Amino acid sequence: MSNAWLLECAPTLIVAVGDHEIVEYIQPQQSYPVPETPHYCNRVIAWQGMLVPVMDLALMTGVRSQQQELAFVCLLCYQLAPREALQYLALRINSTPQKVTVDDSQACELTQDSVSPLLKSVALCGFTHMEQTLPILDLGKLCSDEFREIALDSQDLVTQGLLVEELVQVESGRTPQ
Amino acid sequence: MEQLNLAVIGFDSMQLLMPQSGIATIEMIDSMELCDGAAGAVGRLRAGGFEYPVYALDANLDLLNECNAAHKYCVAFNLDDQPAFAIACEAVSSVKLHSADEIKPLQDCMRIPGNPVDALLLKGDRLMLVSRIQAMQRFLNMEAAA
Repeated sequence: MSNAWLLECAPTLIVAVGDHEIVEYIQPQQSYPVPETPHYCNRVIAWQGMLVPVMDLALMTGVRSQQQELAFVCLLCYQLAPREALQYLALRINSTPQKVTVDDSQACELTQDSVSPLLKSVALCGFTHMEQTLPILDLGKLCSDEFREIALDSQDLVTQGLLVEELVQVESGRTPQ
Repeated sequence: MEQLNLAVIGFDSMQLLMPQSGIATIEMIDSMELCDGAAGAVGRLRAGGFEYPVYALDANLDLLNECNAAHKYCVAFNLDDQPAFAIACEAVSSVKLHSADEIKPLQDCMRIPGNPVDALLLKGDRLMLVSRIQAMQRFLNMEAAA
């Protein structure tokens, strides 16, 4: 059994992160816009001498189409490799993070019906909780160059006629099925 | 300890930091000639035997079609001793940083190819954008061509 935190990014969008990755749940007093950045990650907040990017998964996945005023964020930390410096990310969330205990019996496949293909591509694995299938995010992947390109390209899907899942396969070097 | 001298170029509530060593000249906006210069430019500045396309930007780094009443100065930059571009602005000053650590690189999740912003600097409650002359020139050319 291990612990995870559930983060509600929108009423229909809940993701999980590892127990050790959550740092703080805060209401930032101020955030700063940064031009020429992805629409879902275009602000930073100042936190303990650092400037931390704020990511909105609801905007990224299209669950919400409009920017909303920043209310609460969950500060997360991750490492790209052992002994490397901690990296920080602020995830925009709607409500207080919820701690849950997860065991192997809850593990499940992430399907296209249950999770956005974009999130599936950055999930370590999935589990069921209260009859919902939830992805556990790989924060290093979520914040990577490679994923940023996938997320930005997915905005043009309608014109390209590709499904997001196909795009993820193409960008990661696999042939779309 | 390495000291960084950066020019602070203010426009539309934004503050852009560029290497001070790249500044060729700072002129009053009246010195600019309105013309059909480089695409996307609001005018051209002649100085020191060189000609610089002048660009005006808003806080989103979108190109403006013309200068506004708040623009007072043109800051012209050289790249490798050649004229690069000039930026119309409301204020120019300088900042000395005693450590490069004060500048925070833009993280990968925020980087869009072609973004001229390399890093960020928070001074008080003001966020400043840090760029380089080559990156800004590339960005201006790309924006002007769009």
